[in-house]
Amino acid sequence: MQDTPFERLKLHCSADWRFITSARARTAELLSRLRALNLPQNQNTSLVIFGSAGRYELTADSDLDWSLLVDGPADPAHVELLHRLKQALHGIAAEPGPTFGGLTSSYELVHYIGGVRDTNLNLTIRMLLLLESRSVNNDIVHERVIRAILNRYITSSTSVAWHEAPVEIIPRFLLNDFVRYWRTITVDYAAKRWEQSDKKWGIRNAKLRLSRKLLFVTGLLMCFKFEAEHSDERDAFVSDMATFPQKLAGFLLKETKKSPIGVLSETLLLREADLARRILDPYDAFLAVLDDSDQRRELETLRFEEAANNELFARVRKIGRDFQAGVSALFSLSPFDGLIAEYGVF
Amino acid sequence: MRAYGFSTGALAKGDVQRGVACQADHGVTAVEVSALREFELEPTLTALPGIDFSAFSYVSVHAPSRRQQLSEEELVARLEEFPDHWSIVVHPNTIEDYDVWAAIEDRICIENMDQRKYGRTADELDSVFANLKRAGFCLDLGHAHQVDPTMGVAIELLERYGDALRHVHISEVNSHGQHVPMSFASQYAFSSIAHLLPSDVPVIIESVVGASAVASELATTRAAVDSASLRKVS
Repeated sequence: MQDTPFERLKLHCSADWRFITSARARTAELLSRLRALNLPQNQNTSLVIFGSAGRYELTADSDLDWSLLVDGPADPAHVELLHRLKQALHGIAAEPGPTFGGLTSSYELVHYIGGVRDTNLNLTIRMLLLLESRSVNNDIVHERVIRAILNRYITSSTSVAWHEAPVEIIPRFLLNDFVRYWRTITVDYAAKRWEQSDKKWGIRNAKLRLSRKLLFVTGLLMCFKFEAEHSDERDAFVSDMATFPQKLAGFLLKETKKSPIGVLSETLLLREADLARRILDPYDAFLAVLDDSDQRRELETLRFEEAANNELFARVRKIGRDFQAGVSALFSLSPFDGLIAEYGVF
Repeated sequence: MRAYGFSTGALAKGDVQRGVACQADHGVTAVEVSALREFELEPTLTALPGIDFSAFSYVSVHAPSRRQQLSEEELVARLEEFPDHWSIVVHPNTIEDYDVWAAIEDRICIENMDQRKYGRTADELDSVFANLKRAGFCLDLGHAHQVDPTMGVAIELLERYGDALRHVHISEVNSHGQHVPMSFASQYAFSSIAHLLPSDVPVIIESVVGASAVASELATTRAAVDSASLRKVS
């Protein structure tokens, strides 16, 4: 058994969290299989996976969301590489969703943060890159782009106060964008109901309450982590403000390499076992539903008018509410309560 | 005052004598003898007695970046023939058997790599330095910048191996892995961490330039490393 924060949390809580555990194992196996394919590559590109695979939460019918991340000169060969990757990945898992399966340029991700050129798609890809992405090949390119994004957030976050050491080390610009992304997801959920009526409404509702919300929780924890758990390292970070952005980016980069459950587990290990059960018991139950093809299909085809009388939907809604209650309990604890009040609302 | 100079390979590939001569009149006090390609090793060793290095307070030699004909033992034996006080720059991928390198452990400098090869980050170099504890470190700013233009990787390398830092390589490394004259972007990036380089650490310029560009590239390097002028613009 791997010695990971999640495994240690299971012991700490005497939990088995069977579906989270099997999803992690299934994802690890898929990643190994993908890496063993020796897929064609280019020195300035990285094949990056997102979604449930990126979160280490692959279930039985999960699709494989991926993108070819490009960080270098535009090269016509990139399109040919993309076609070959599509062929090689066909049949390995379900085809990617509409946002994926194509080229993603690093330029927009780094230079268009906020403002009119930061489209919904650009924001989405950038957030998912930070919160739920894994490189299949060329880790260096993947890491380079994430560092550049994080550095942009941090260096753009300076205020007059930061000509001296910051009072609290909270990457505010990044935090605001995580909040913006969460609100965008929730608004887009309502928009899809308007535009697409019942199409996959039920499963979108479930994912909003759970896996999408978990991403937001992960983003908050990433931004609060230094002050909540590493404030004793402050002097090392602020002793030379000229290198502070890179050091903070390096700290956050390490967080992006963990799965959302991994980030959450580290924080929960420092709290009472009961709190971890309140959060991960319902999340495990959620993955159990997704891992059952019949239940997944039932949610995907559920009509809104039928939801009130649907036993599965009622169960998933309760799972979502229990998860929310657990997360709310976590953020009501010190120091998160103060950090949320100071940085999370305005 | 910091010692600056060029790699002979940057000025005259395969011709150490000319590489030294090209920079002789520019007030440089450091030089790196390039034997980057294995077939250059013997001619370089042969040429050394005929070259006057007295003007240089710091001399290093760059070992072949990979072995082709020589065994690892043979390579180390050849490298031992260079003057004792010269640092020997070694790429981590040329080291397979650490025991073979023990004989010259104090003399070698491990160089961080460009994005194509393992040994690019502090984590990737951990096992090398764990096995060659007395080895020095050559920080290649061009390689570090290619791997991470924000210079976070360079800072991490200095934090972890700064105590072993012997000298610095500087140039811009383009997307094809070639060492070229520094553009504004690389000058700007290097100047952001220049204050972390102790003033007694020599800088070896690896930008491939012609004889007519030696003075300008030297001036560009001095400005990036020993002056904060680029940063003042922002």
